[in-house]
Amino acid sequence: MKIRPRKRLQLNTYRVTSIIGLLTPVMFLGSIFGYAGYLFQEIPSFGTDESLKPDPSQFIDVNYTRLAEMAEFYDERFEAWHIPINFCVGAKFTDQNYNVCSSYAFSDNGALWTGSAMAGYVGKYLAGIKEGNAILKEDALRVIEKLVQGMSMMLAVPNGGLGPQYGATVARAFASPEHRATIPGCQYLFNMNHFKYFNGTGPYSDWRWSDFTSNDEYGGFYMGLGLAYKFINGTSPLEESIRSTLAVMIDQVCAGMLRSNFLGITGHGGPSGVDQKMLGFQGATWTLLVLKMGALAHPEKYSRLYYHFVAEELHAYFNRESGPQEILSNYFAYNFGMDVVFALLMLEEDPTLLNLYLENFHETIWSNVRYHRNPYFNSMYLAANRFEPGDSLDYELDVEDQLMEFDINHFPDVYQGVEPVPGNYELVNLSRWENFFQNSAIGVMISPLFLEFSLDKDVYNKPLTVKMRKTSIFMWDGNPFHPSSNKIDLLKEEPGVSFTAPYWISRGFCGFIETTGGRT
Amino acid sequence: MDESKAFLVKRLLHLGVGSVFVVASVWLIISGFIIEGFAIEYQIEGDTFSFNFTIVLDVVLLVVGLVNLSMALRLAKLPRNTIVNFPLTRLLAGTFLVLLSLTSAWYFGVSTGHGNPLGTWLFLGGLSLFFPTALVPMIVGFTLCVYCMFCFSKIHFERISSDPDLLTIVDIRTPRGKVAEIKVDEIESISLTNASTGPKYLWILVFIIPIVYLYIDGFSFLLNPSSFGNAFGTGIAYVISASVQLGCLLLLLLDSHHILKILAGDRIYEQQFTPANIKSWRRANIGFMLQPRSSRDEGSIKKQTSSTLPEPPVTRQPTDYKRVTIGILFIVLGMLSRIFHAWAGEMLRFMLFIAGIILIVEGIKMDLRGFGRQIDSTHVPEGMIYSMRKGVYKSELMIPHTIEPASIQQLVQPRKLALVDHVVITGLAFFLGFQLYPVIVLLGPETGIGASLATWNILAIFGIGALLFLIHVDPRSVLKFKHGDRNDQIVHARRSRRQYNPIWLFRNFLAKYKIAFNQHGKSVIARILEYWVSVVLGMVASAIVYLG
Repeated sequence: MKIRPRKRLQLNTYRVTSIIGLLTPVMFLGSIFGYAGYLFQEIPSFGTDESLKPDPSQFIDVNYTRLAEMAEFYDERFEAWHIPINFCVGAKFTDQNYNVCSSYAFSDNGALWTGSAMAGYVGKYLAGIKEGNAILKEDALRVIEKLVQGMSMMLAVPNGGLGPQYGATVARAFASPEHRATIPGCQYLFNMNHFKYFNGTGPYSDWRWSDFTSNDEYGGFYMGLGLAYKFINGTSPLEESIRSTLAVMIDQVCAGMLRSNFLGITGHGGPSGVDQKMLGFQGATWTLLVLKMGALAHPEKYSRLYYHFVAEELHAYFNRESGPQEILSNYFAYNFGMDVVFALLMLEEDPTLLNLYLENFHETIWSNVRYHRNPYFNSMYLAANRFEPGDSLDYELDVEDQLMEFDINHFPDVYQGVEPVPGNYELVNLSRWENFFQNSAIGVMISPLFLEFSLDKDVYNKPLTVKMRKTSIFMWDGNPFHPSSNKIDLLKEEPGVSFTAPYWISRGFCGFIETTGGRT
Repeated sequence: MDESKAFLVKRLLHLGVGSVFVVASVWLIISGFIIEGFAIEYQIEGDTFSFNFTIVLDVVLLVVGLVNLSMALRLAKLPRNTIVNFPLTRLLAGTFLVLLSLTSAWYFGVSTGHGNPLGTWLFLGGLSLFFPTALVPMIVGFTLCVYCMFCFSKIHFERISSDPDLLTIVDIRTPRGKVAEIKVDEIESISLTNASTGPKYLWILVFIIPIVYLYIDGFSFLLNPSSFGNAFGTGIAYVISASVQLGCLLLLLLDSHHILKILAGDRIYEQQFTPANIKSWRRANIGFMLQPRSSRDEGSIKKQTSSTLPEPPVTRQPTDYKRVTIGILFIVLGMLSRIFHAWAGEMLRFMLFIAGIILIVEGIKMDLRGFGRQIDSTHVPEGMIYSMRKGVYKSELMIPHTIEPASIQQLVQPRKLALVDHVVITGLAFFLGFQLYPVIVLLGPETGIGASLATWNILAIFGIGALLFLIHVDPRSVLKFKHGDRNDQIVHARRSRRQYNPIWLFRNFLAKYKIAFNQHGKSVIARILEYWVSVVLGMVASAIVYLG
């Protein structure tokens, strides 16, 4: 039974106390979570600070001739030794002649690295067109054709074929029974007891593929697919054949993803946890990219859908990717985040939409990585903004400096050890945060929100440059603030895409890298 | 069989059932009996643990047995002046949700990580599918069940017809009861209704997101031609979970929760209860509460033969299908927009679902009164009781004889809006405007589709505005009783059955809106403005996000 006075608006001590009593826990919890939000930005802020901006006067003078020689070498090695099944892998050799491969090093991220390689080769193709260099263009198309074949098999093997009637699951890697005998290193896929490896579908039932495909894989795959379709627009039979295959693949991705509500599907048929829909008013780039590719390749089917998602589903407002927390948690998220954002920015030509996408890009993911001495990210930034050579000189010089550093200890792309870290690099003191989350009452309460933060690892206060970092299948996926191991293995060669992707994007898309000479 | 024998048989039955259940559950617990497979396994830091749900079943059996025993052993019959209060529908909803969560935990497991053949949620190698299907139901279900354990009470009504004439209401509950003594001659009105939903609409916010997402993902799995393997099991589980949650939501919204409000002197006395049995249900009326021990037949009360208070001019309850129809339309529009990826974006879609559910519930409880049913008016010594009943839902109003004739008005006025009506109007309008702005600003002529989408969105704003105008202005004939700063009203129909022909209806429809506009122009304009101001605010908010 509630008894209250009829005059409702009368304030009295009881009412006031009740209101304060109800608001106090709300305000308390609100301030706790507000503080957590602040810490999310503050703890990794050493990685976004303006003080990280490099001094261009310290950069190596670029030698375009040398860079072109290196690119030619890497590309030859890539085509000869790093796409045995038409997707990107490392290779182990028997001796330093590097002409007898003992085993290929499958990374289980075949779709991602192949997509990154494709971005570089599309840049090479564009460079060939811009510079009037038919050989360059032919070289690029030859490799692009192989990469497209490999990427098409990444769709065909798990789903049973190519076409919009099939699903959109992308394989991390695949191999046929013939490959098992001829391609050393792919035998891991034929382990029947591993939860991750499955038989193919339909005509590919005797093939094997690696499942539980993450958004990393889809990100690189979509980027390769989209850039290749958009920019390979010549009329030669080869170019038309490539575009035709890409169009079918894009239709399959769009149709499959729409039917599955943009969920990743495992080899068992259930959801994998991968979800490419917008969540929490961010992450809308994925859906937009898939549908933009569809709108380009099949406007009659997907154009209306694309614009529905852009405007009515409000995805244009929320194509915001990543936050500063990845500096201390999952740095690789920046890599595939940049892939999807770059692809969308390059595919969209409408000035209003492009400006909005660029704004979101600058405010979110770019603001977190702009000073990370990453030529791949920097070249994407320059290309996406449609800068002419000279418009953003600092970033151009940064890209050139880092590419030149490959010549120190990453040419060829084997494990040659790393240069020592200079004395002006210091380790960031994260112990106080560790202590806070373990010992203080508020810290313990909010610590589950920071589980992914690696506060116990050494972290430098500045990003390492190329010469201080060990090579890997793709260097830009790793955290530049973590100390690098001094691994030496002169017989294991990586595909060189760490160099060729930013090089060809800069030369073909941006145009500020010349073929010979130096910067005048 | 007379009543006492029937009561004895009932008690013996409870005793028998209770004894069997208690003994069976104790024996099962002591013997360590386990149902094989009725368990879940999970890993914590590499160690595997297992929990078998047989013990939960044993406890449920024990509780059921004890409840039956307590009912058998109660000392006395329910007194004639008592209403037993217990929220049975909440207990049912809580029980269904708990059973859903237990089934989901058994089927999907609760472990995280790669390799779960049924699938994972939220991120690659993430949480088991227990979390999207059953986490919210588990939390809500257990909370409801625990809450219900503390909700049992008995409400005694006592009338002491001496000087002063007192109506005493005693609410006996754990840990502390409450007593209200009300002077009968100070009573200005008594209202009793079980058709008010009030804050229970907040349940929609708890359930709407999991229901919608589970249906979408569930049907994606079931209807995708490329689906195979575990997709079908997952799809069925998703749809079942969504359906159970939807059913529980409707149970919670449509339940028969009574609110008794007594205006007396300078106080308002409010008693909320849910009748727990048939006898309590029959006693849930104002007549019984004023004369709780009037006779052995609880349905009859002492009446008075004459009164100065008016009977409604035409003793018909109006029937109105508008809110139910428009509510269903909103839900269908939301579903179609998702199926065909057209028009309504996600935020507007959710608002359509919320508005649709609110309108359907309001329509079922308030509007769908059986045509032809009379508004019962009963003269009692204290005043006139007006009763409007339709099946489960009813509203009663008691006006004392002491009310001044000048405080009684008969007029046509726009429908009295509740808070949820404003939520529906402003929510829909806001999200319509929020969505319209990017359509206009972002989709220029180059896209080839901007004009078309903008046109559809603008048409939708006008169309939905017209529908909302229809149901939220909705002039009605009312009998209004004013008490100082408050008023009560009875809505009634001013026509008889033979006047229900289309031409008459149309003329009456226009006439009513004309009267409402003439007499309550400001109120009508305010409702129209409320909608359009919300549309503009939505566009402004959208502009802030875009520019911001």
